[in-house]
Amino acid sequence: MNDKVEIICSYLSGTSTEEEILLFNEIMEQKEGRLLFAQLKRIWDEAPNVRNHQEYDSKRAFYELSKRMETNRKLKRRYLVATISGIAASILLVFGLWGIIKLQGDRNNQTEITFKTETGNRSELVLPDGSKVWLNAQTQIKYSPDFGKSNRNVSLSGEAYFDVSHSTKPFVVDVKDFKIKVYGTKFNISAYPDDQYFQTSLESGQISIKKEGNEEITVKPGQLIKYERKSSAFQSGTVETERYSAWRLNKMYLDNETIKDLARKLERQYNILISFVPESLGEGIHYSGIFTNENVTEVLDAISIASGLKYTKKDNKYTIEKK
Amino acid sequence: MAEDDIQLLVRIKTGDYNAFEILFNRYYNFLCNSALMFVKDSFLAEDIVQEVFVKIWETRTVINITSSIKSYLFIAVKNRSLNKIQSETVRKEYSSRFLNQQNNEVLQVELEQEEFREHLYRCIQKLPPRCKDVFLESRFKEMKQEQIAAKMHISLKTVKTQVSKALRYIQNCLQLYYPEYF
Repeated sequence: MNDKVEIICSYLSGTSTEEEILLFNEIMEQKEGRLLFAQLKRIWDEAPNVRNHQEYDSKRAFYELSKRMETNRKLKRRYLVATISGIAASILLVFGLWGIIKLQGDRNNQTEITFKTETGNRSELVLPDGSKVWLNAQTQIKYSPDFGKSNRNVSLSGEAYFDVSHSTKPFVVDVKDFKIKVYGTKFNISAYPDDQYFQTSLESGQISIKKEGNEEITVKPGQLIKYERKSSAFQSGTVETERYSAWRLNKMYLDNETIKDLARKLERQYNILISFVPESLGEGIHYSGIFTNENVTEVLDAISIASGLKYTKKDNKYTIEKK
Repeated sequence: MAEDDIQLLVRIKTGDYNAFEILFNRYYNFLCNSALMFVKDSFLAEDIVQEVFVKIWETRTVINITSSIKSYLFIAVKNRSLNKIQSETVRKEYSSRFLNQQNNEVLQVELEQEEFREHLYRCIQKLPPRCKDVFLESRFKEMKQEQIAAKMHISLKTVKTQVSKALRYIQNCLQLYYPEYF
């Protein structure tokens, strides 16, 4: 026996048999039937609208907000101090420029210029052509002294966010496995030698990826290109690119990442070591979430609670295992 | 307006941070999901809602809320979301549909719609696992029943049964949350 809900359901999904259509018409003749239909139709029609709904952590959010307001207050207080130190900074800048000119003077010896961040550190720098680079932890960027003159080539190991100034000379980032060619744009590259994947996401402008022996791939804004090093294969997808450069703002965004990958990020950022017992544990559990400015124990607490894990700490070594 | 909300607002006006936190916890989830309907990015949605609350706290001494706090918050979040929508065309479409109709009745309808969605989401989350999987494929991914059957290796009949089971379950669940509507 078909019941009313089933008949209405067939109607809503457009799969009614002829017999069901007759039964449906019977239901709609009664007031009570029409009411049931209206209720179910509303559920049916509204359901796709909640597909992106989620459960937010309001406790965490309130903590974030409190910190944000605290910083606002401090910034206001510091405004005067900042103006004074601004003057001091411009004096320093003059000396800084002198340093660069001097460096260009001895460029006959073609030593490369290297910037490096250690574990647990981040840094930003301005390249001679005016392009800005933000370096995540454990990252190294190198360029030759004639950068900006005959070429704009840099080589990168680690993770960086680029805001490249516009020029007819292409800006090329070499990450060893492939090269990325850029024409004035904002994008993020993650290419840590110990990671399984290299990935780049483009916020605006245009970049293309060239791997020796492969065709050039053009990346569009909003796209993420993932490169699996083991198989040398590229994958692409559309993403919210801000999430991939969120580390610049001290936010860590995780979208269904294995906790092994997450552990790598934490190791770089906090200068710690994380191991899993058994080792396969790290691959089996996935985690999604956002962390802002948390210290390492806050992050590990959150993951442990969410995934039924526990961790122990000895010096700067953390061991994670099942509860 | 719920009596409780009025009291909270009075306490907030006197600088009671604890009352502010209660208000925040009460509406944060609802407002984030409302913002998400406009901006499509949960990261940004949370930012927007937090900005609105920061503003409330900073202007607490002069703030004057004549409607309910919930609809006040909802309007603030909605307006801020629309400002953040980058694409001009989308903004135009929304502004003709929403902004020009700032009258109370329309806002009430929108607010009621968002509340319905919030309840609906809760009820969908509570569906029994297998039933939920089928329902999500059907309504979130908008897959045809034949496709679902093939993908999940179940018969077409089972798909049909599970979807109507889900509808019946959600209807009952909404009745609990929502006696006014059902």
